[in-house]
Amino acid sequence: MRPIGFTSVACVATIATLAGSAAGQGIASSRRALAPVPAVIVEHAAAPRASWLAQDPGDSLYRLARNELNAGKYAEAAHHLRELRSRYPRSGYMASALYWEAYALAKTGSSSADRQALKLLDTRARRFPNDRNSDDARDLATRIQAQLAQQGDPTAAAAIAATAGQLAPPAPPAVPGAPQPAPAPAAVAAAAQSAQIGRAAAEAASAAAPALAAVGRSDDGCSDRSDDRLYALNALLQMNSEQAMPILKKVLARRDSGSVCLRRRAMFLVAQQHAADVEDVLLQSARTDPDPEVRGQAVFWLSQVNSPGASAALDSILRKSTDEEIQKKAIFALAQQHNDAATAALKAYIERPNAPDELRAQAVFWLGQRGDLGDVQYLKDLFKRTNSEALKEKIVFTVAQQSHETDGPWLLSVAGDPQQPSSIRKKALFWAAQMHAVDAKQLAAVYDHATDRAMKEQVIFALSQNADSAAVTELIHIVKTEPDHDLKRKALFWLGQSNDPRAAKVLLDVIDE
Amino acid sequence: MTEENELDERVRRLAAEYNAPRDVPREAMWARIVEQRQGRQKREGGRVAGWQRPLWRWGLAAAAVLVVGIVIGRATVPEHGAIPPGPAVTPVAVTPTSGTAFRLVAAEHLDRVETFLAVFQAEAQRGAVDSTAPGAARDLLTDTRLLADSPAGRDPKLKSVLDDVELVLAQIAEYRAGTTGKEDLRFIEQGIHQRGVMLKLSAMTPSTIMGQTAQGAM
Repeated sequence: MRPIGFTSVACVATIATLAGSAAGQGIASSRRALAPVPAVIVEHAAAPRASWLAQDPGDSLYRLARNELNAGKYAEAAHHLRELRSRYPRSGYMASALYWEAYALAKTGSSSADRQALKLLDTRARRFPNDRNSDDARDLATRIQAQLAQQGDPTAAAAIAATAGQLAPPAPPAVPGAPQPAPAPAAVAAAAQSAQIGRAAAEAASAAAPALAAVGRSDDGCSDRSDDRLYALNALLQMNSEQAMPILKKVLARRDSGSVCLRRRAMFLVAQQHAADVEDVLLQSARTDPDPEVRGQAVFWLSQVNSPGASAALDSILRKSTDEEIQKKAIFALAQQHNDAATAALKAYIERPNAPDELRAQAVFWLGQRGDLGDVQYLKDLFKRTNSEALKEKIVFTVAQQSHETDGPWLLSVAGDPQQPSSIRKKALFWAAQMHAVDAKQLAAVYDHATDRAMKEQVIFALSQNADSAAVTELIHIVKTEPDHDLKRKALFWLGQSNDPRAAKVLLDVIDE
Repeated sequence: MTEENELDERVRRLAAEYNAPRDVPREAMWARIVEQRQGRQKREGGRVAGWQRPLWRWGLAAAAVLVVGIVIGRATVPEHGAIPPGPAVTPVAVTPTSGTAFRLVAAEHLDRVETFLAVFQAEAQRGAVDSTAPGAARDLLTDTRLLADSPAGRDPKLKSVLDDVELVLAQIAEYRAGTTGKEDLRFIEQGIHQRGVMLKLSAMTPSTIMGQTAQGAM
């Protein structure tokens, strides 16, 4: 092993720190693996990525532990990483070993292991303050704190509350005459475009809290990477929603463009709450957030608030919005609300002749998912009245999923109705057959009355899928009596797939002919 | 049969089919995916794109996925013509649950994870992992953890898959290209295979996640 002097290592470390390049990291990494480096140098270096250092004495243990992690053997992985740390304290794997040992310990599920994991991450943060993966380590530490807090650890609970609280720092005092921060262009544009965003939203968009806006802005809206605080807030919501909701509200009240991702995730957290003011929070965001995604999510999550107020708001959004994506979410959310107002709103939309067929069909689908017999009957009635093939097709599909006694015969009646479009009749027959709601004789009757070849083909296929021996009888009948050569050939093909001895005989007869 | 056994059975079935010899132009497909990604990145000035976009960008796309998942089954297409005239389907009975919204989000998320991992694996095999992959993995990791803590995570099947996904994503988030990157990639790949992550993700179709029961298959 070639010793490397203090100066060389310090230089390499400095270069790595200043350049921060992958190449620099690699050099530093391999140099450190070769020599026993004074701890002080390591601690102040920008910790290089340290994995698969073949000449590192800890290499074997590290590989073993990573294998065990992959295999879900967390206790063994933690054990071997601990061994690595104790036997090779100068190993180049140290930063990674600390992280993965903490990860493995946290997966073992005991509070003592959690506490040990926190100590390891604390050590890592102190020894490798500039490590490029320090965010991940901080996130993990917060997750572990949350686990401990949820197990009743008061210290961890306090830490979680403090971390979550960082998402909503107190607003700085107003300074008379101080210039207001410029609104983010994207936010202002979005605010101007949306009919639902009124003056309040425009004001909000231009009045992002200066302290938070300073976090940074970027076009993707994710410059505020507050994952650790989000984890803390999530844990706090599950432990003490009264304490957490005000923080969540402040997060959702932010209008700086850098917090868009944060607000989207916060919306997901709000949706899990059952507090009385959740509805207000969601409605507020649906109406005023400058980000269309956040607005859309607010609408989507109103599905979790089963109230006349939410239904009325969703109905209004569905009727007035010109954004089809928002409307789709409103349809979904309405369908999740089990009250008369929501049902009426959905039905009214389905029957709006000037509404896009795609959206009306979605409304049919989600209405049908509720499994209410009255709704299904409504759809069957609508089938008679509507001229929209898209709606008819969706109704057939929706009814077919219900599997009620009356649905099979209804589908069969559609299949046999010459007034209906051929494509709809075929689908109805197909679903009826799939539901095993139609027997071979009924299929044969449809075949006899069918005037178009496509329908007859569908019947032949349906017969082929019917396990009843009577279906083979009908297929044989078609082979013997059908003048259309193609249809006869199709019936023959399916007979050829059958194990019924009568089918084999028919095939032989045909060959002999 | 317990839910876990059902999942195992589904995974076993998928595993059996996984490498079935078929004439699939995988190389061409991946080349196309990579080409499109690169083109998209250029158009977006290097910003993250597609599956890497800021998350929770789902919506009723998930519902569309669900509908497609319900409708599309595996058809047995005969070799000698006589193609069944009907759509290939697996009819299902939908049972609405109070967690429908969360399950939809989970379906959408796992779909995104599957796409991400498929592209990541393809890139890793070529030794050219996109520099944005660790960041995208971190975003997916955050959402995976939030989902695991949400009502969606109360479903043991879903929780199990989310746990597997979490470890793989955590490893990718830690990944940095460099002199040791190949070994890192090997271990990430091993984790994906050892835990059967891709197979489990394939098994977690929207209809599986939505708790639907197949009534019959062609």
